[in-house]
Amino acid sequence: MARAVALAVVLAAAVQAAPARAEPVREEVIATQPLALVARGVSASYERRIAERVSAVAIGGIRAAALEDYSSRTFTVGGELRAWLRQRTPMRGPFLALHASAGHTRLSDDVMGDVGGSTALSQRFDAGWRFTIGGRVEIAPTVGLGLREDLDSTERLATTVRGHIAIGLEVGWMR
Amino acid sequence: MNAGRQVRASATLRGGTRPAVREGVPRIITATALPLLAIGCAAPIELHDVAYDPRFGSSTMMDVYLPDDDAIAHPTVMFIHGGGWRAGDKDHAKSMAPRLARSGYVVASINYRLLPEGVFPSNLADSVCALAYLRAHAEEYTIDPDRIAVMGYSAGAHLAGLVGLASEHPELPADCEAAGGQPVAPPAAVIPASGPMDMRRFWEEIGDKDGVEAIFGGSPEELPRAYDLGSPRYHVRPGAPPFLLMVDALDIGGVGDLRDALVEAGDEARLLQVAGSLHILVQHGDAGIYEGGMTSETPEAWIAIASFLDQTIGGGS
Repeated sequence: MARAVALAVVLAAAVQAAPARAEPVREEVIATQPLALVARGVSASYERRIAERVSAVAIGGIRAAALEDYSSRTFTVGGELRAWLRQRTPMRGPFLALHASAGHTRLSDDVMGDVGGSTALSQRFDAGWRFTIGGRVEIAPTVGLGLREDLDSTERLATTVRGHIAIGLEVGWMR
Repeated sequence: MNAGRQVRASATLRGGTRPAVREGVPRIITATALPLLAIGCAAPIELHDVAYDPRFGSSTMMDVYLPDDDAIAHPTVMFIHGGGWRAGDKDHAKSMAPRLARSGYVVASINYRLLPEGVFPSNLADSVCALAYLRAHAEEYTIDPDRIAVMGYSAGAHLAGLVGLASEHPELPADCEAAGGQPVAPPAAVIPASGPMDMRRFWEEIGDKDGVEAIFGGSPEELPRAYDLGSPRYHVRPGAPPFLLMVDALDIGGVGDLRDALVEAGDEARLLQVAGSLHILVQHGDAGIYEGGMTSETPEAWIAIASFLDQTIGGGS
């Protein structure tokens, strides 16, 4: 994990140090969120530029994080609106985003079968920076602040809301 | 006057000072954040800095979260915080406790003596004393004394495991007033999350050996008996309370071995490992997004906890 972060920082520094040259404006990005792999998941997103400095993102993911005596499936869907802060390089550089998503997790164990389910609803304000390599490959780390609501589908637990700090990383292909 | 109101009244009088009692805020946040969802649960009543052993000041205080309902005997969760046995505070339960309290559980989040003062077994003695205190004051806090589960995180998980398996051990006496000089019966259920269960193995696996040795006052070679007594793994016996064990991505400190030993002894034990959880950094709602938090706050863990508590100490009201 630490090596991956260090590599990302070095790559980003190299990209920033490269001499600036005019690049065509990209309209679409297909990306993945590699941190999902750590929790035995995959996540992918499609982003499209919808105005001069605004893009919309659709995100979906799945995770199977429970191990040992349990197994689980988490399905997530979400959407994001990104405002690109640099007028001369839209879809690159710094951006601010509003993010909303829903994730549903079901847990089962090898004795009882289905144990229960939980739904998480998230609303988040993100800030990020998209670095590009060769004009096509993009890396976008983000940090965010948000509210998350957890709902227990068996109603054994009360619904709860809490604030959270989020860290994300996106790697994708621009076209 | 219902039981919850009686608690508020008695807490106000305790010690002649006004306790820090406040209504929880989650319902207000919910109403403003996600107005489409109707939330009908009452906010818990919070009693802060309740002294369960006055000899050690703030080191042996607890916060108690009470469901705001009319029940007189709630199932209860006693929470023991983490922090490497040398840091941390009962505030660690602030994110979990209100949800459990609003679900009908009394929650008591305890402090215990930390290093350098809190060398083993004083940290365990404090935890056992807190359990004894809750039983002794069950009526005051609307607790069903036979339905108390002990949950801990990280270092608190280690202590929770010991409370579950060694609370009556003659070499580990809890000499507080609440215990009354008697062995303290184990809790009805135990949930140790992301903490070591075999301290010899933990000492071998972890880089910070000085940190582990500080807990006992020496190495396993120097103090073999202390490491045995301080390891839940070495107290396994038939008739132990049910265990729900949790670990994050790295299973260190013999958690899986404890599950196997408990099952082999005929006890009930389940192990949930949450892949990708990095102890204080977890994936929650979105695959690929990491949040600050405990492994025991992931959706996978919450579902397992709710089911386990329901089966062992019953659901909340």
